[in-house]
Amino acid sequence: MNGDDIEEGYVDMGGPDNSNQPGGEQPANGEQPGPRVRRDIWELETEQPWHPITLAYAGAIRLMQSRPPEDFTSWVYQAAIHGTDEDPDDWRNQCQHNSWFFLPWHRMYLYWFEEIVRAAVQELDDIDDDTKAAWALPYWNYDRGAPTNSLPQSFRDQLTPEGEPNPLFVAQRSRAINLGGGLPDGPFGITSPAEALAEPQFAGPPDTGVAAGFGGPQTGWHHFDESGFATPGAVEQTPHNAIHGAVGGRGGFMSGFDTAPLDPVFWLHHCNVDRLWAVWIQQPGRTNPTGAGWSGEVFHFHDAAGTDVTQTSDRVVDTAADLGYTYADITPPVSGQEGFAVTPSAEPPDRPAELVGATDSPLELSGDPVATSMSLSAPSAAFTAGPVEPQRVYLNVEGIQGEQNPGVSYAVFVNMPDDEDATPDEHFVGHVSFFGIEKASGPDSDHPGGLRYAFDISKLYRRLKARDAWDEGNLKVSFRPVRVEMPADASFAEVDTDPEPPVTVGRVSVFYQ
Amino acid sequence: VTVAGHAGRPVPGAGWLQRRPEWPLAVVALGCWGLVLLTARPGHAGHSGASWLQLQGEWLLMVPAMMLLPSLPMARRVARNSLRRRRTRAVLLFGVASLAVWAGFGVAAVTAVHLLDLRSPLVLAGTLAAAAAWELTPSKRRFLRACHRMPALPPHGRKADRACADLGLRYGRSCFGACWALMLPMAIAGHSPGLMVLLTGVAAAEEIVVKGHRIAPVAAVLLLVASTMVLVAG
Repeated sequence: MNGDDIEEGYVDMGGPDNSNQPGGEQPANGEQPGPRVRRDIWELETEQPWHPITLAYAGAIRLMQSRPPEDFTSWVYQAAIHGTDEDPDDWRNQCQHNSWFFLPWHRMYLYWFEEIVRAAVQELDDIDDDTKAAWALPYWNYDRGAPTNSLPQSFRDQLTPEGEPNPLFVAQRSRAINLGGGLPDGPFGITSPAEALAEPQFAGPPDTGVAAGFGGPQTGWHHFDESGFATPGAVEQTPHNAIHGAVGGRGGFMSGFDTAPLDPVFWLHHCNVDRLWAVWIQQPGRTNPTGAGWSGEVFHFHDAAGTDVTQTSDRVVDTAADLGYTYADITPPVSGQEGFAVTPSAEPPDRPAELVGATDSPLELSGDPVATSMSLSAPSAAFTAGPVEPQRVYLNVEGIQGEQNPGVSYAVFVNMPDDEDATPDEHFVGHVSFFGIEKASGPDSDHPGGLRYAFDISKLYRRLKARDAWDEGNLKVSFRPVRVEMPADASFAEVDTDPEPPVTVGRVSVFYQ
Repeated sequence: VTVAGHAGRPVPGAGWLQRRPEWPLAVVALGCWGLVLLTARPGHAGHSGASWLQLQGEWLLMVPAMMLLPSLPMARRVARNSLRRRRTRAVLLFGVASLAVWAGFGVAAVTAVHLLDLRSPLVLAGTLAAAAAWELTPSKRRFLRACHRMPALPPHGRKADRACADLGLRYGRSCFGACWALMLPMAIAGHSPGLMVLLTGVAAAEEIVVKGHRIAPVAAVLLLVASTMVLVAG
């Protein structure tokens, strides 16, 4: 560490001019090394069961788990950085959600975790030098069809090849996932990032009722619901939130805010979400935010030596130049449901969204398909003397509360025909899932207002309106459960027959803008 | 502001008001500040000759002035989550219900101050020091978080009215939990504009800034300074 970088006990990391800029070990000849490459876990698994990269990850986790919880580089402390019930400080309970800091904060979090794991890998005697030099966090791209939509065997085995307890296995997961069940990846499945990647704007405005762009709404520091209006960005909705619940199941580690990083697959899932940011930004016309609102918020972490470090969002936008890593594959995925419900490319109008209708009573989601309906009022003509046709239409699902993440997502549809043979994709809105619900329920919880989702359904609105299928007197909103299915060879005793814990939706609403 | 793609004459100021649907509460708060400044008497704890009724009147003027300003962001959320034709009604129901909590507190606090004759610089300094201590407690943080709760509101009819009033009461209770120690000195000091500005600033900063608990140590120091100044001024 360059002593000049240290100021008031902190080390400001990031930026091409930083002489300590991470990017791998400095070679003896002084030549700059290339960025390390994060690879798909299923590529590694296909290359070799229990690939050395995977084996090194397991060994490093075992070492981190042996460290006392107060050690900044311990497994428990690393999880507490994301969320903890203990009194907050500047390092723990800091994860950023429902915010335009969601992507940059988690990129920083992954980066410092990777540094700590890389340091731990160097201490492992049974790992070869090539693996130690090249080790980078793998990602799990679950959107490439079977078997990639299931958890790799090395994360499901209870023992390592050496016969020791496997640190990559946790029992606190969906039973179906641990038995090899696949994440839903068919029509209205939860693995596809296509809807998110089609979002043209990185951030949504700081406003009630509107969709939050690709990465989340403009907020200040935002652990979860401090603003009271914020909703997750498109990539945080699906696949991020939905995969958390599907892997964690009912009350498993991945389903809860404070426990998710205790599952080793959390880091591979977030690595994939981070990769999707790299996929998104390379598309034409995409730009990251600029300005003090985004780059001025300072986040605190610890490096592999336990030293305090700080980082800002603008210093982590280029993974190779700023942080010294790249992804093996950033090819945009091809999906059959791409762009059905997503935002038109034009910028939203410069005026607040206006509530035009909402359901009157709460709705319970308990594992079965369910529907509700509402009537819409005419939007106000306060701005003009003429008629007002909305440029944007948003569907909100608000006040979502429940004691526990049920581990299931719901596909949401508008005015779905009763005819079972009808093609529902033109009515598809997006997914509602429940990561963080335990923090959003009950008067004593951290954020007791309930979860909130906002979907831009402008295209859907115009499509249905053109077919005279947008009935403002009776707008029907349907919810269909989407869950991990047990593998076909699961025994009867393994099948989970307990009912899913119910979740209450406070209201479903429509905003015009 | 006009709606793009549609002919029509913009209504002057309509866009500004549409962005600030909480404006009725802001008007009430500013009006109360004006009256407070008109009726202010010099010095701390300087209204020892006032009657109980007069003290209650002063309290009922101070509470909207001080407590409506921090509640404006929540009032905006209430309005934005209501149908347009119901916005003003929703905001007023929310505001009145939240102030009712403070009015109740005022009856108890002002009566106690009046009967026990607590209007002294020493007691005022003590309550300011107590407010500084309260700033640093986990309970204060918990109440502040609860102030941001925004439940789903029904869109129409009495259910909507009741939900707005319930939200106001719930918000008022949370706000009371967070700020009771800030308002206690005001029951002793009466219309003291300097103290009102300080305490309103602290309450507003904590409720409006997203990470309000980070302000708590600064607020505690300010309150201790104020306490010391009251003691020195004697």
